[in-house]
Amino acid sequence: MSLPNISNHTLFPDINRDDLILLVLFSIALEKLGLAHIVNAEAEKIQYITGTLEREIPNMKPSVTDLLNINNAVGRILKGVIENQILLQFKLEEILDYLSLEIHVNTAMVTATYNGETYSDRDSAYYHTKEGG
Amino acid sequence: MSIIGDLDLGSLPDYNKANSRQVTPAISLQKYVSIDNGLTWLEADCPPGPLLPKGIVPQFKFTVTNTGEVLLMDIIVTDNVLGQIGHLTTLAPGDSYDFFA
Repeated sequence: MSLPNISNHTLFPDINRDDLILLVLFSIALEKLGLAHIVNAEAEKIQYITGTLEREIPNMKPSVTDLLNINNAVGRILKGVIENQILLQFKLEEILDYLSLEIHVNTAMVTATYNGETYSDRDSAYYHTKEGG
Repeated sequence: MSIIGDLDLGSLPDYNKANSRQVTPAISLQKYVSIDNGLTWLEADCPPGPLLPKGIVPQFKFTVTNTGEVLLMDIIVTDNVLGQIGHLTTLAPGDSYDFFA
């Protein structure tokens, strides 16, 4: 059994830092949109059972126990939504932190000659600074 | 019977084989960055690299090594940000030299 992996890893072959940040922000936005749909569905569930959903009339009149049960069910779903929101908040904070970094790169080259031919090599070194310190 | 046959020219003897030892000139460069005024040096080959503390000016070390088998001449190190770093007249095989900027 092997570890799970992303099979189509050539989806973004030439991705750069800015593209990466946009993709992560986009993924956060999509996840939040999904959560918004879940919250909306839960709200409609309560509206349906209480008979306040437009054009939808429940087949039966709910008892207090029914209302408490639906309330608990919605509460459980919302807890899951909140957990996910916290994770998304961490993700967003990480990416905002990364946005405040300024990455510097210096690339050096050496050339040398032997018998009229030129030989060379190059290397880069990175460092970064952060806004406000 | 084939009119056009294969013509075997054979091969020429390699008279120079004994005396033609191949030499391989080569040079390598390793660039380091220091974020503590030269106390420690980091290769920092991948972004984002180390965090430069506020008020510190990054320092760079350039290690040039003759990785070939022959004496190299006219060694010049340049940097895309700092410009020309240094020059060496010669560098013997296996020898290294550090430039600082």
